[in-house]
Amino acid sequence: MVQPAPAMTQFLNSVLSQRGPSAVPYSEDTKWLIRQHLVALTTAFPSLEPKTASFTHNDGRSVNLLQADGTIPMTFQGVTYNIPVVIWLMESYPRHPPCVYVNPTRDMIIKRPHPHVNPSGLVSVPYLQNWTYPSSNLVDLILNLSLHFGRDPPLYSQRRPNPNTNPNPNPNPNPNPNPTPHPHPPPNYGNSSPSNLSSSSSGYPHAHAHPPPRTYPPSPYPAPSSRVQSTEDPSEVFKRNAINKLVEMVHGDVAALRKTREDEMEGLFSLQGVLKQREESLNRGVKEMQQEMEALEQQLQMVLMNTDVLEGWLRDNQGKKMAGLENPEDAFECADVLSKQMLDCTAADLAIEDTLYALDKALQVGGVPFDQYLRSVRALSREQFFHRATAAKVRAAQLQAQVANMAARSQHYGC
Amino acid sequence: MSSFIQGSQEHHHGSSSSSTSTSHVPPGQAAGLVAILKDKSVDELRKLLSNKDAYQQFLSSLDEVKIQNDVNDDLCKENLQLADENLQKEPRIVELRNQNKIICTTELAMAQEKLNGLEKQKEEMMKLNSPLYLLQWIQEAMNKTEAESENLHQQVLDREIDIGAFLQKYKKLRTAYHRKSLVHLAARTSNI
Repeated sequence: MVQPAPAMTQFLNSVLSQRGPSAVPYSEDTKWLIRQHLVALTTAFPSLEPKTASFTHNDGRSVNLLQADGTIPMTFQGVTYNIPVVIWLMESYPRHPPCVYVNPTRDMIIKRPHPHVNPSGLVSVPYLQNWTYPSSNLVDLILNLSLHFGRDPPLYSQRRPNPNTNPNPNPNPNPNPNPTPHPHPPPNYGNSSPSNLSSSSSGYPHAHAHPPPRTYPPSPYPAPSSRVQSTEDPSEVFKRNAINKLVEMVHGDVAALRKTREDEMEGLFSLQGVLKQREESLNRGVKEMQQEMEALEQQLQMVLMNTDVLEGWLRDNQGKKMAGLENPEDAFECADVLSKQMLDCTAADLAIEDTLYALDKALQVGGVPFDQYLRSVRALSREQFFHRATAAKVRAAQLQAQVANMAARSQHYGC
Repeated sequence: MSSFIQGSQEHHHGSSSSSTSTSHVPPGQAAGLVAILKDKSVDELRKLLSNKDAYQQFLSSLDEVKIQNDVNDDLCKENLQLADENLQKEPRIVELRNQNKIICTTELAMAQEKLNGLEKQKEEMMKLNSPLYLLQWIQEAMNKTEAESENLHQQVLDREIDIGAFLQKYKKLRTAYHRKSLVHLAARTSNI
């Protein structure tokens, strides 16, 4: 199982910070870089897992080292395989390159001879030989190995994986098709070359009775297979290169397309914002115009209503012109009957007074005979007396009415 | 060099995601692409490498590209819809503007004009019936009656009419005069 990143990071922090016998023998100033390399490696290739293990040198020294154990993906003839490897970070890492071993399982064999992998599984590639501190790193190393292994796979599966029947038929067919392995019968009887060199791995076959299933390239040794491989090689190589080329092209184009689309999306979002603002503005304008129309209609209704009211009033008052009166004083009315009577008596009294004056004037100029003068004066005086007597009575009645009103706490005056 | 003897070793092969040797391509993307490409023949691969149209077609068929294009198209459609909605408001605005203009220039103006005419009539009518006007009217009537009585008096002095007729007519005129005078005085001093 692939360890989760936090747990792996915690594991590395714990290992690199340990002291005492179990400490790893890396210099302090490079531990940070080692941690970076391993974190980047597991991020890019989750199939490789950092561990600590004991490494025994040729001189017999044992030392506790960090390693990355797992598989490297490679593509061969359009098919993806996983090559099991173990990468030892030696004491001098990262100033010096790590040791990389191909780690075959029991059902696979290291191809010999192989330009990059020796019979013990040790890997030798230009990247390791040209290792440069601090620019060289594990991720680029694995990518480089994947390329080299893709061109020339270092492992292939055995023809007969049954271990039980292995010793019996093995001597018979081996000498005929495989003349090269014949001088080394002990490795064939063993599980794998590295296992022979490891005394502590004597229990190896039993511990891995059921290895994980996987398929590996066919054996290149039979003459027909070799011939077929040489025939397919150019087209397969081209296909692999074409696929790699296309993958890179697609990746680049997709990245460029994503950038272009993002810019377009930003533009479209800005445009959408402007359109929404415009929509709000238009809605507001429409609403204002509707309100204006409603206000105008209300004003119209008000004017029409006022017009109707005014027409009604004019119709009702059309015939009520005061100018039609014969006497203008009829426009005013007396407060009560007594007041009107008083008005009439006073007017008559004053009129008779004026008439007597006019009569005197006529007498003086000789326009009136004396006898007629006396007779007229007598008649007028008697009439005037009647008016004055009536006025006196009316005034008394009015006075009485006023007293009554005053007694009743209210006042009422006639004109 | 050194050969190694491992003290303890576990073959722990987890399931690994396949990827190609392309250096900077993410493993997931590369794996997907390889899965698509490895099913194609050599001729198809050569065609994709050399023919621009075929390559563009292949690029467009990828899910990642389709998703981006779909999102872009959706946003374009949404923007077009907003623009259409905004444009469709134009007839509504024109209609409202026309209606407002019609109401302002025809109906409201005519009604206002009619109302103004009626108010003018009312003002004239009210003017003819106002107390001030009536008082003025009484004053004029008084002056007229006064003139008539003076004229009649002059006639009797010139012996143009007899005394009997003069007295009756003169008394009547003076009564009317004094009635008007008293009403005018009362109206002027009244609080009503």
